[in-house]
Amino acid sequence: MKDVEELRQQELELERRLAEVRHELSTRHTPDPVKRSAERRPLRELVLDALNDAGVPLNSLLIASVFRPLFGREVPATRFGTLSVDEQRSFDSSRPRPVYLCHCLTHDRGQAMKRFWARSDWPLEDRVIGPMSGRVLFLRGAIWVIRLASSAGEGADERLLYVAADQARDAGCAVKRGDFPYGEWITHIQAQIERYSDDDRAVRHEAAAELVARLGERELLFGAPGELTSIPGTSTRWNAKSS
Amino acid sequence: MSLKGATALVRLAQNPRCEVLGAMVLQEGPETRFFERVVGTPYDREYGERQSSKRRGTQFERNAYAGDARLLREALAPVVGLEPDQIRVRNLLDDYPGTKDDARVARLRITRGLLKDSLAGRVAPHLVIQPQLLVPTNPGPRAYFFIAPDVLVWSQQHGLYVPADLKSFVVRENEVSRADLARVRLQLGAQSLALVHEYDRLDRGKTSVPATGFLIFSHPNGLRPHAPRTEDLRGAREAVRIGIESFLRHRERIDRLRAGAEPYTVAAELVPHFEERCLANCVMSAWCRSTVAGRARDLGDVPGQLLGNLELARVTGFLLGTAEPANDAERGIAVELRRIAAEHGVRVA
Amino acid sequence: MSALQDTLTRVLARHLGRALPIRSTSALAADPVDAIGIATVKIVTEEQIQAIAYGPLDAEPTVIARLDPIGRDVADLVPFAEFLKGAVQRALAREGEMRIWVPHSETVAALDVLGHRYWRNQTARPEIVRMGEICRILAHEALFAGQQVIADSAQLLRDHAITGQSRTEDGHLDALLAWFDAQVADPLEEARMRSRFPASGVLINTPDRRDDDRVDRLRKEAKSQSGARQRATHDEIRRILSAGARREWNLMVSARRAFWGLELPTTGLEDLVALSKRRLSAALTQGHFPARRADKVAIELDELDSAQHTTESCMLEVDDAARDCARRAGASIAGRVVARNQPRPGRRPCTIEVETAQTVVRTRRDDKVRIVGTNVSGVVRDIAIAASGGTRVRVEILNGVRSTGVLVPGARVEIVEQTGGYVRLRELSQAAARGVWMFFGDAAPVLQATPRRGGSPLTVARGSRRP
Repeated sequence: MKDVEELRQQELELERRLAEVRHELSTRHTPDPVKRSAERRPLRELVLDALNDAGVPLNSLLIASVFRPLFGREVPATRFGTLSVDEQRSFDSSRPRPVYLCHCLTHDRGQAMKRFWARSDWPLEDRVIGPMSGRVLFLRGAIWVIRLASSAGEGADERLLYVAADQARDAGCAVKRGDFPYGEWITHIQAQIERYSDDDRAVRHEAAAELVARLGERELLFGAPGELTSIPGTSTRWNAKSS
Repeated sequence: MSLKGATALVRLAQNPRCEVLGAMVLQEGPETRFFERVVGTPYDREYGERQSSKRRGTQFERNAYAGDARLLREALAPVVGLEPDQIRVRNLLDDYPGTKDDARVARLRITRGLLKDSLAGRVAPHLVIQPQLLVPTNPGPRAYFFIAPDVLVWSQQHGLYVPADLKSFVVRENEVSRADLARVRLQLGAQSLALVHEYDRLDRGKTSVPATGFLIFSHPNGLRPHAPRTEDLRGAREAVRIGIESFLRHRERIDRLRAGAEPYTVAAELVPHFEERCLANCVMSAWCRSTVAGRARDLGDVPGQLLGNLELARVTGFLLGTAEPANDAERGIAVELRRIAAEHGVRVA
Repeated sequence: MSALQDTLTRVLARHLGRALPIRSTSALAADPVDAIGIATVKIVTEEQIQAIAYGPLDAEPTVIARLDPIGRDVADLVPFAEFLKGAVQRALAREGEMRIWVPHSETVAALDVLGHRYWRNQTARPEIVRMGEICRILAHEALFAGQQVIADSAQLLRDHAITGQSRTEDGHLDALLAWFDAQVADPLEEARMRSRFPASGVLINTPDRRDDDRVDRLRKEAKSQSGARQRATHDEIRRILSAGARREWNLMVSARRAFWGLELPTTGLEDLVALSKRRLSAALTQGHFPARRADKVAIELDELDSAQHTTESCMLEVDDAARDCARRAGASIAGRVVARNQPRPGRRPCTIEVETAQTVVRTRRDDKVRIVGTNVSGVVRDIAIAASGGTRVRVEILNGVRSTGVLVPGARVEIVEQTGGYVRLRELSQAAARGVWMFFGDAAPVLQATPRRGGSPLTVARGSRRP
């Protein structure tokens, strides 16, 4: 049996939630036309466009953080998982598409790096990840976001500016609250890219040539299968559920 | 939260004699569910991590891994023996994100490939983020434990990978409370032992894995990592190894008793090993404690060691005249107890 | 107290259903005129204070419930900063006399972390920076044995009494208090029931009362709200936090009442009070300078050690229960003077022989000792088994040779070690100038082998003793 105090607290909580739902409903009647339009477009298309704009493979975490302010769209991590499965199914079906979303491949074993997304109409060497490519792709992705924020201008969703600032901070740039020196950040990051880009390109180029000779078309988009991994106790004799 | 992975090994290392703990590790599902099924009532005390703690932990890791692990590269550069910019990083969550078993298996496969590359002298990353290791305990149910250090660091000194764990609880001047340190050392010990198994798979014991690991705590201000603490894991590794050996013995007994039924069904036939520490970290402590109710061990570990399995009623009987000491030890206890009682103005028989 | 004494006292306390005092005097001097209390509630692992109750002990506390403790804006802490500043000013006017009651050591730790965050923060307001410094000073003072500033109510109860439960359970203040409450019929069951909710400066988070997770969720929701909705959410957060802080405050008040309820005399603490006042007023006026260099750390360790020795010495001097324990452990010798050798009355040289029935004594030859309750001190020159089967100790008196009432055959005396309160300040202060290798070198110096003197090291040592 609840006491009066508990019931009063429950009443307060319910009133608060009701006010919240009413507010949510009221905001839906005046949607942002750009965001509204983006909401209707499939995620697949938005990702392809973003990759086209960036010109480099992008990490799904970065894509999600940018889509939030750009399109008002929350993309949970699991959604990228289903996107990958759907894209592979689409490839396997009888109706080809002009371009597919695909994953980057490791330079040595040609296996998929599932968080790194690319376009199938890019040269293979641009979709291969060498030992230092993770660094280069992060830095290039950071420049892309900073440019997006810079070109968004007045009235930009300030969350985009903070995503850009976060990328700049992660890249080791000096970041002061409320200050967005986009040009300085880009210069600083470019200097870092130059340190790695030549060697990275050479490794990727060589790896791409080797992978093309070894892997089939599907594997070149979605990665070679992994080797068998031996896990103890997976024989039918012992099973935690069945024994 | 069920008892699995390094958490299970740490608990087994802390209390290797407890068969009830062994059953909880074998049983699928969370500890609180085990409690409910054995005791018959829901667990009503606080259990598991608070949301604020989980968030801090996640944020600390995210910060550490951001920018191709820039903060980690800076913190671990002295260990790797390179400038931060020269350190190669591989984040296995980029390869295969997720926490389900398929993701763990995939990251295990990749980790094994990287260990093999490093042993063969091929180009390998200096930092491997979210690797996956495995400690086998087959044949039998719960045939392995997945162990996931936060980072494997290439140690220039040892020419091998060593485990590093990120801990988001705040430390001042890099000093940690002893209780916290003991627990996280055991966790690191489990990771080091798992690394021994993995290297052993590759080269049949040729590689001697050092009993060393790193703990990386966070500053009070914000979530920047502290300089890594080097931990000597010889004791921790041995404690985990003993814990696993005990688990294998408990498993054998539990399997015989349960004859195919679920492990919790035979909890009443198992021998718990109640210790004071259980009160702070085990859901079954109150239930196991009932086996020592009214005995010296109910007062704590030290009383249990000093008075053995003596019933408290018997001890106070020495005072009240309702019990006679049966040997020299009990006579000594009776004399001392009477003296203490007299000091406190308690009348004795 | 030995482990056996501790165990059997617990058995007795369990049997009697109440806590039993283990000291005959208080380690804490009486509360000064305006003793204050502080109780905090923190966000676990963030170590950020999210609520704080403070004020004089004879009134309802002021409570600050922080809506955004992790944010940069700390204007909400200004009233606490002002309060602390006022308390410190009053303390300085009384040459450093200050008393702050806290529920347990987690409160001190929380204040220390708060101090760490703000005492050198260049963007924080001056009053917040000063608050940070004061918190660091208070936390530092709490490290010294015998300090009289921070009254950790849980630790005081544990140091002065034993309950009928395990030490681990004693760590929970509310469970501990069950043993000090005469109204509680079954303290064992009551304590176990009380331990369901935490008493360590955090919000409750049991399955039926997830206050902590709720506040966490409400904070997140409030960020995307505005107007009346946001105000309602903030009110709810404040309500939960205030209730948490008051709970901690009430535990402290109950613990303080239980402690003074033991009615232990507060005598013989003048030296400890003076030391505490001196340390505190120096730090509050000159600032807090944590030791980082090896030589400075050595000085600090000496100071902590000295405080420990002084406190033990003081305790042995005034506390019968402590002396009784020390006697049984052989750390104190209670006996009679059986002989005195003093060629010139009232002058050195003077040697006494004390015989005791104790067969276990920990004193060794050349130990510096003193006689409890007097100004007499000396050095142990010989220890032997007495004809009676007890122990006979010969002491060369160096100070107090005129104490005729004590240094007379038949007088009952109690001898304890004269522990030094000496800090090697002069020597360690010169370490930097002299570049002492232990602190400032990377490698030990190479020692040249010296020619061996005649005989074994034991022979040499024996030969260097005074007869």
